[in-house]
Amino acid sequence: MSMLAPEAMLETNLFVLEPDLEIVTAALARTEACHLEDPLPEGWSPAVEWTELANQYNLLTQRLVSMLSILGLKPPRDRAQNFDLCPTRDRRDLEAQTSALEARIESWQRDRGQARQELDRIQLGESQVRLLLPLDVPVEDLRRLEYQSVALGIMPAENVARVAEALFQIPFILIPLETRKDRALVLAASSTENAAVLDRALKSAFFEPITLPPEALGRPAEAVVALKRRAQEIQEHLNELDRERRKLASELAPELIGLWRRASADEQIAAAIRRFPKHGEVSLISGWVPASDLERLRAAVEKAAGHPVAMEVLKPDPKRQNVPSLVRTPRWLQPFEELVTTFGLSSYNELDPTLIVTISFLLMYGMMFGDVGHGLLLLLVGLWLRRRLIFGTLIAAAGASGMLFGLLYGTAFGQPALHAAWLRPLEGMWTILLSAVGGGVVLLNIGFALNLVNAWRARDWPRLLLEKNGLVGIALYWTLLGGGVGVGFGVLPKRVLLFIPALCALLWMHEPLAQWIWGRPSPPMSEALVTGFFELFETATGYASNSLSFIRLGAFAVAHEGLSSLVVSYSGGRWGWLMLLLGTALVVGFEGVIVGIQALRLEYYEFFGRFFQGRGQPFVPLSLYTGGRHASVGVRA
Amino acid sequence: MSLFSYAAAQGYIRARLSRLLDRPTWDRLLLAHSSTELGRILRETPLAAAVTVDDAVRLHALRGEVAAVGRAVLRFLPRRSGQLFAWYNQRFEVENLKTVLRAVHYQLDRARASSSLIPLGPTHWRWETLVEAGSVTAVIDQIRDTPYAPPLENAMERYQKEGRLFFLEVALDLFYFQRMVRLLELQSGRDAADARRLLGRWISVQNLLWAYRYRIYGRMTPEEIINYTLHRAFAAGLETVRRVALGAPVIEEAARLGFRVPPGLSDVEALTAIEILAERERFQHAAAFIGRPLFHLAGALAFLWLLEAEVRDLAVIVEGKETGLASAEIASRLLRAA
Repeated sequence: MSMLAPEAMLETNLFVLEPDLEIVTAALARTEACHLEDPLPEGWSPAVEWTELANQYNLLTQRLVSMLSILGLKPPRDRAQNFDLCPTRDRRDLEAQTSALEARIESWQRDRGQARQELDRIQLGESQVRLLLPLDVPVEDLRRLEYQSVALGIMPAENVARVAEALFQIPFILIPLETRKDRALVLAASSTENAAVLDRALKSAFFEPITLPPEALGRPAEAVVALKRRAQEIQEHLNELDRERRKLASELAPELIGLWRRASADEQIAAAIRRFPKHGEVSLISGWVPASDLERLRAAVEKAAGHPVAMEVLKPDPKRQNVPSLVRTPRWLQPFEELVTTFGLSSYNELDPTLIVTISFLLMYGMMFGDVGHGLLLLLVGLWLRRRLIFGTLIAAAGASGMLFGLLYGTAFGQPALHAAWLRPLEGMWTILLSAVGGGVVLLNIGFALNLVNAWRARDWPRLLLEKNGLVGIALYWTLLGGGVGVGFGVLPKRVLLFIPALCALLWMHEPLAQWIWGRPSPPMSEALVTGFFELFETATGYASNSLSFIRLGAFAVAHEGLSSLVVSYSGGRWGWLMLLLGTALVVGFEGVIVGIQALRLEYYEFFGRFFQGRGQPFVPLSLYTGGRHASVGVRA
Repeated sequence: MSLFSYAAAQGYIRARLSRLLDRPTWDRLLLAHSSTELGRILRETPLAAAVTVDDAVRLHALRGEVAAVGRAVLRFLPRRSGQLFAWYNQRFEVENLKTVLRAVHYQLDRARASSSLIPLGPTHWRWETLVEAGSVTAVIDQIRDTPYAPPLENAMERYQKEGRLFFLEVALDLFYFQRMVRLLELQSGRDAADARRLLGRWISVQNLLWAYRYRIYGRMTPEEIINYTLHRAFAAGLETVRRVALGAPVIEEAARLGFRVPPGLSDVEALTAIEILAERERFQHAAAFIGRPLFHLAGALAFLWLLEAEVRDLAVIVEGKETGLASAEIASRLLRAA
């Protein structure tokens, strides 16, 4: 395991006989060390029967989840480790047990559903009849109106206004009578000759016509009383059913959760097996396994099968294969992972820059925000936010770095209160600006070095040797920088500068050269020369601008001290404390943010641009974890 | 705090901008002789992950990538504009849901339907299972916990009676865009102005196109057109829809939105022209916004639009190459040609 690089992966093909298939897959899942692939070699066929079984399990778990939810319970999120899993054998048993529980729960649910539906119908009927109270005519006499150009029904509440707008061409009546759960009970009417328009408008607003309940008889006032009484009876029945549910929940919970655990584990196994192609009696389990886990996986599989299992282990070919990345970040570094993963996940051949980015980010932040007092405030804010915000620890660490640089600058809350261990930015402006650029040059060169390593790991020779961040590029960078300075100060002879046109020519021609030497596809020569020229120009100016970009570290350090001392200078007098408070809040809040952005920008744009692409595919092992996809990116080491 | 959020988003976007294909690459793509050559060219770009072993370009994977980038940007945005942005990014879910409904309704081959889904990474959605649901009712049953279930349920009775998927799709679209309008109206300050200028404009165009499509292709009555379109849609709200429903010419309404449609086109051709003009305008807006400081919602939206435009143009090139169109012809259909 390396902190700087994704784990070495091996392509592993297990050839498993049908009788061992389930037990081996379960053992694989328990190791959580195999990221499955979906190959279909010629002559092999997909495991169609397992698709069917996986679907059956899917439906089974849904039924169980539904039962849990009916009883007010939640499925646990954990790993089913202690079961002897065998989906083909277990299904019948699980199905039978589920059906038995379902019968008990369904009978309760059916009763409750019917009672609820009945109550809704009666209450709806009551509210409809209530609207007819002023009419004082028997309800049965009004029923025939629904066959005229009058419609009573339910529609999405938000569509009521829309229907009114849609009926702009005809006279109409539209009365929303009641709204429940975003559905409105509506009475709509128009003259008979406009009935078709009304009907179309209502239909296109998803109107569902309803009829008055048959229990509503007599004059509306009498009907309302009768319906109310009936509603009360049903409500009492519903209360009784709710008590019954609590009893059922406490009685059935252990069995139901146990069943769910087993069924969902079996479902994961079945869903995995359906991805394995087969050839006669043999299934092919193909996937990526971290090299460090291979022996553990082999032992687990063979122990489960009870005999050796044919296993083919191949080295990955990242040029042709999409190898997943497993970066094991140590626990202490995890709060800073986001600095990198926000940009992208290291691909298999790339080094993971989390450690370097963390160090450089904190150094850059501290340099720009150096003040013991302000850093302390930021540290406290970060510690307070630590459990609430993902960036809490990062903020705290940035504050600590600010404090450290505050000691170097000798400032606390904008005042030169301490002995400066290094310098005061306002006094040593040139020193700090040059130091910032120097630091930038160091970081860029770390980026160059990492690019060389990445290119070497990817066996990408043009990138390693000829490209702008490869050896030729680095040589040009140093000839321009070091050579320029050396010749300027008379330390180096002028002929050193002759290397510049030679290196430029190599960079300019890098595409045709790569094609000539390694057969790498390249655009036609004329096009390569034109684009190469502009790329060369951009590269050369980029070296200067990228290095000078770091000058902002020093500039912000100077600005921070200047701004802070300005706040202090205005803090005298009666309201001085308020000025100090607001000014400090402004400096810590506003500048703290800006400084963070600048540091991030330098990381992402100047540093990552040298070596990091971040197009990795996360390593997601087969597992029995039931809380959703379980990606082992940044698992705790 | 919003400044901090936008600043972090800006850092991310600025870094990511370098991954957009540059002009020389577009030129090379246009000059490619086959779709295999396209794949080989793209393999050397940041889009390499979307190229298969046999050099085919997986456009759906690219769309999935746009959705993933949208989710990444979202993490930085302030709460209020973040909600709007998140909802905008959820259009990929809506697209996938429509694909599922079509697959189930028309009983399409499951493997083919699954391959048409946009890969949206780890989510609570189980698209593969949904595609295998036996009926539209079963699909809706399985997505009961999502916000899309209620609008679909509202349209179910009509769907079941008439067996037309149109009702479900229109219910889904209306729900999606109405919520977008509501979220858009909740924005304040500079974000509100940005959102109206970019998303509001997009919604207006969509609404206008819907109204005309219902009239021209669906031969619907005015009350149906009004019920199947947005009433609050900024520059093309209820008044516009009414005029369209009552027979206003396409060119006239397009002109009200600032689109100059060449005269002499049929209604169908005019609609296609508006669509392309609107997409080009969107691309130009995005390109213009991305050049400015990105401390506002417009920067994040513009970035996503540039990514979408990239995928859209790539799709045009891939399809153009497959159908044997000349490079100049393909180039004229690209957004970046404008």
